Amino acid sequence: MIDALIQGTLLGGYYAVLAAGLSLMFGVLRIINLAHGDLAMVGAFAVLWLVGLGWSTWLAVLVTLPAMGVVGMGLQQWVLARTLRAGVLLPLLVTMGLGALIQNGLYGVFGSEARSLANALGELSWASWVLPGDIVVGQLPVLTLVLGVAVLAGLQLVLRHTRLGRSIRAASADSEAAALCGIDAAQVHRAAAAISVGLAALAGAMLATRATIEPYGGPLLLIMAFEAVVIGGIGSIWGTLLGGILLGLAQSLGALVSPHGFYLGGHLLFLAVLGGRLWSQYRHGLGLTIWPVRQRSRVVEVQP
Amino acid sequence: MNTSTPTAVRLEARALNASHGQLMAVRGVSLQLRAGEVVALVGSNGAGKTTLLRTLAGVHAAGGGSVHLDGLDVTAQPAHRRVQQGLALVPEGRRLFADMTVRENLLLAQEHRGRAQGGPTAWTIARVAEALPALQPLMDRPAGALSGGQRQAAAIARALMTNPRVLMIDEVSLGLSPRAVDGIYANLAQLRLQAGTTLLLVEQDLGRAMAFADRVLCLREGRVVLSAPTAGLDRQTVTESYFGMEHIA
Repeated sequence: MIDALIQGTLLGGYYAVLAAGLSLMFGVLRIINLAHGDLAMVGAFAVLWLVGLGWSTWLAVLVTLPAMGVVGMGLQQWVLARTLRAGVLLPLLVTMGLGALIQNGLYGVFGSEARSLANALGELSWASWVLPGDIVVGQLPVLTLVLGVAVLAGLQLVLRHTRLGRSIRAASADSEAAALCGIDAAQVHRAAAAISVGLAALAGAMLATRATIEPYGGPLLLIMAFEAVVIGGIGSIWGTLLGGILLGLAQSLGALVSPHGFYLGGHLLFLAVLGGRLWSQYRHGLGLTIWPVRQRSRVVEVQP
Repeated sequence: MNTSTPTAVRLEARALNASHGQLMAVRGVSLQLRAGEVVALVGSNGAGKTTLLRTLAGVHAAGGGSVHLDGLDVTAQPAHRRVQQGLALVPEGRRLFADMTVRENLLLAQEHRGRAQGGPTAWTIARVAEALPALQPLMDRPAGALSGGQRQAAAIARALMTNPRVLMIDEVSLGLSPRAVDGIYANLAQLRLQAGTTLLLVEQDLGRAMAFADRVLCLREGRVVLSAPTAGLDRQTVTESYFGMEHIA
């Protein structure tokens, strides 16, 4: 039981990083990016490819993250910003299509074989500490949690105390008022998309170090991210971390009950939280929406 | 900050149109605001005052015509570019970022003002706090926790931080207590003396508008029906334009 709680908590760091990207994209751009999990897979396969070329894992991750950030900026500039002009449905369809494109692209390049970075990490992938009571804690999962918390803390610092962070918060709250302060909402949106895709890539790399990845694994990651965001509540970095940890705990406890209970435990917690949120909103007369969206206006793009 | 001659045209609209769907809210409006001038824009509800200000600011798309700032055609420029060139709007509802402190709200505007809007005479948080003393104890309070008058003062302060050459304020006194309105106008009078900024104010209180402004612009059904200096202008004339009673009289 204690072992399951520890493992679930450690898993939370990875889920939180994965979910933070999805949450940021929705919070700033109001887009539910259905390709988020697939972009995580692209990041993971990019790291794998670089490691296959002989790079160290850490260097491969350090190069992949900014590269994926650039991909995110391009995605926002050339795809998402255009689809947003056509309403809320089109971005859903387009990101769903993008996800399918990525899955088949990865399959075409890397094949269907499941892969992992575990071998590249050597001893770290199996090294562990033995705690009193013969509880074994893997060093890699601890490192993943520490890295996840550090990344989220860094993101929180950026959002609170930097010019970019203030701009992101402002554009997220009211993009028209942000424009009236001189903020270029399009630039802020590109930055948010870059951070979001960068976080997805980091989560993909985290997954590849401790499990196997395969080209069609993105949708499962998307579900995990979605569940963590809903459990933790949108708009809060630490809420996302809590959501990730609670999801990890529910999965670990589910696995205790039944070998097939790992995902089921997470899904049940998600459904319980979702039901509670919907009931609460219904009672307060706010209607039935999964992610309550504050009313805000968008900036008119003035065409020359 | 204000380097032009007193009569230079700061902001100009030429045959400006704007609509909400099928409804034409601004119809061929032409106006000129001169450097340092204070103009009150009056009109009944639905006359098109807010839409006109929003179109001038670039947050509502113009359906025709043009907007010029210091002679430069800014019609094609988005709102944030117009702000960086010195055209600021305090929108209706104030639209402060409620989760941020007043200081953060001001800092945002300072960080994004145009390079041309900086320099030694630029507004700073300290200078704004001096000009609007009511804000001094509120700097580290969340904007969402302010009263109506405090929000108005903070919104004006935020717009000032962009270092505007033209400052437009929508519904200066809407929803404020008479005491708060007195405070806001006292601040505006001080700003007028200190900064020489051109002001375009939407004001429902005709008496106050005529007492404070150099000129009154009256809008009815999206059209300018009166543009006259307040000196020598009687309230009856403005009221008749306001309600469209010229022909009845």
